[in-house]
Amino acid sequence: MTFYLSTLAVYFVVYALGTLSLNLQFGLGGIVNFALIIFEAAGAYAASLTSLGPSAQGLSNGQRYFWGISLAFPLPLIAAGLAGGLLALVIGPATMRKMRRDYQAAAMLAVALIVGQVVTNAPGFLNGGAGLSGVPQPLYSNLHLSLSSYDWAYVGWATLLGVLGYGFCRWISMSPFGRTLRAIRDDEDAASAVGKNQWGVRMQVFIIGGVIAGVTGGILVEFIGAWSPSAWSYQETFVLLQAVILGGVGNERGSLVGAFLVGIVLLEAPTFLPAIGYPGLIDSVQWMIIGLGYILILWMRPQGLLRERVDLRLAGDGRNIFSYLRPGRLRGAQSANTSIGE
Amino acid sequence: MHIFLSAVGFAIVDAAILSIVSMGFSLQFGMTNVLNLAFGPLMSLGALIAFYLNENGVFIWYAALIGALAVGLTSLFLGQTIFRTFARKGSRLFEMAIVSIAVGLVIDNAMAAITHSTTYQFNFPLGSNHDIGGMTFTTTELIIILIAAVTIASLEYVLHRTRLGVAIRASSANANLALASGIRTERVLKLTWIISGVLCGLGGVVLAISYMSINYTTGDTYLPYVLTAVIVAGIGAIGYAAIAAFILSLVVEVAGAYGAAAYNIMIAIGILLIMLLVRPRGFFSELWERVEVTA
Repeated sequence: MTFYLSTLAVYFVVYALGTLSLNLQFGLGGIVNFALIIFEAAGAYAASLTSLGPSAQGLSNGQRYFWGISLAFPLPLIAAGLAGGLLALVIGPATMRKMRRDYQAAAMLAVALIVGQVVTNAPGFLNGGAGLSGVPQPLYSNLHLSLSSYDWAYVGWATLLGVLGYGFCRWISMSPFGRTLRAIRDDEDAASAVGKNQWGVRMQVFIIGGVIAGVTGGILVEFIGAWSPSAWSYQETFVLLQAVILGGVGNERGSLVGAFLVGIVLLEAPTFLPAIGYPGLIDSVQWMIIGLGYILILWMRPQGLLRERVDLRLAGDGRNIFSYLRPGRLRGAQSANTSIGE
Repeated sequence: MHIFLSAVGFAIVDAAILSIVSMGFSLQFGMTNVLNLAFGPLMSLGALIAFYLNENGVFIWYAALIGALAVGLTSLFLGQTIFRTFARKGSRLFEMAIVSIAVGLVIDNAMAAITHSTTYQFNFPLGSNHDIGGMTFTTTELIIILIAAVTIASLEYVLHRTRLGVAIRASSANANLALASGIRTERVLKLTWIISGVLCGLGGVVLAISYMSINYTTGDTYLPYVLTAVIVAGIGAIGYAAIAAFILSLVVEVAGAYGAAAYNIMIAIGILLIMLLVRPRGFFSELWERVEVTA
């Protein structure tokens, strides 16, 4: 039981940070990133490669990968963030083009599909479809803890990162930078007219989101110890997008609520329940609920559970970092759009 | 030379299947402006219905016809309920694409739950081999090519030689103007959902027949080819979508014959990505500027 709870807690942090990252890019920046999951994957692979050690060292399970090194505790996680950011730097310029939003979504889906195919079909790159396993847990041998206390220590570490990430996203959302993002999202031409550099601002938020997504991959892989293409199919991004929309596009607290409801209550908690029906039935039902969920949310409550509100009073007034963690006074503008993502 | 010719033979069969689906997609995309990603799941639906009927003794081509019609009705139902609701609510391009993905997820996973994610093998004779100009086709493949030829010819005839075709093209270009000039756009829209659904289902069935196997993801896996053909041609350029389908099949099969077979789908997705980044309007679209959704 305690193992389930600690696992769920780590998954919650991973889902929450992933949702916050997508909310930064999509909710604030208006970038339709249907490939968010590949940034998480890049982080997870980077963390694995920087903690597994060189491939030639004859690991018992005979994995092949193109490069590896064994680094000390926080470094693999930093590598994960860097990998996510670098990937964003590479992919970003291609996606910043102004075009129909549904085409932008299709382009990002195409990117996610291609990356998935490349990794699966190139066995010497990241061990192909089998993926990497046996990723060491950080500091496990140094801490001398029992398995379950180690898990809880990891939950504490992940939670710390989660709180920092949440505070950081709130900070961005409330800062002048966040206001610029919202302005560009709501009216590109008007924002350009007052001298905002759309390309630069969007690129920045894309990279920041990529770094956060990369770190979530690192947090997850260092906990579960394995990572393979089946863990990051393009459909996983639909889960995060649903969390963003359910919580409320552009609302960070909403992202936490959405991540909890979609990621934990719907997807992860049932894996610990006794199986019903044939193996795979629960999975199908979960995905049906996600599909129906999109239709119901967009139909009945497109603004999400917590609608976006911009607290103009707090904006840019960063007295200290903690001021961004507490719920701000709610007032001010809200987006007038009736259709998500336009 | 022999490798090349046989690759061309495969490409003709591929193109036959792909052009049926692409024309359906393009017709509906041009009319409604909805990037309907539920097309893949609907293809699988048609194929699964046809498979089920065939297993229960229905002659395969009758089963194909029934599967296609069933998808046509499903498409009409989805268009008249879900897509219309969202279009009336004011949903725009991205939200409509999300809604279509959601519909696709529901259909896909309902099929997965019903079939227990089984991959079924079709079980009927492919017929004898025929040599035509150095290329070898089975009887089944010849029938598929014939079906595609009839489909392309009749769709082109309807679109360019009949009043219905004029109505469809006018409603695609400007629904309000078409309505004002006395075209019953509602009826045209319904017909579009049905025709595109029938083409989608028919394409799904012939795809499954050519693979000789079917599971609930068959259509989804195939969707990138369809999107590529449709977007290369451009929104609503229906006849050109068939031509793009042929060229794409040729590229993919020839590349496959010379050693890139594992990367078939990546070639298609790569072309799709390059098109979206470099020339998203496609080469023959006259509807590119449209931003509103009609459903």
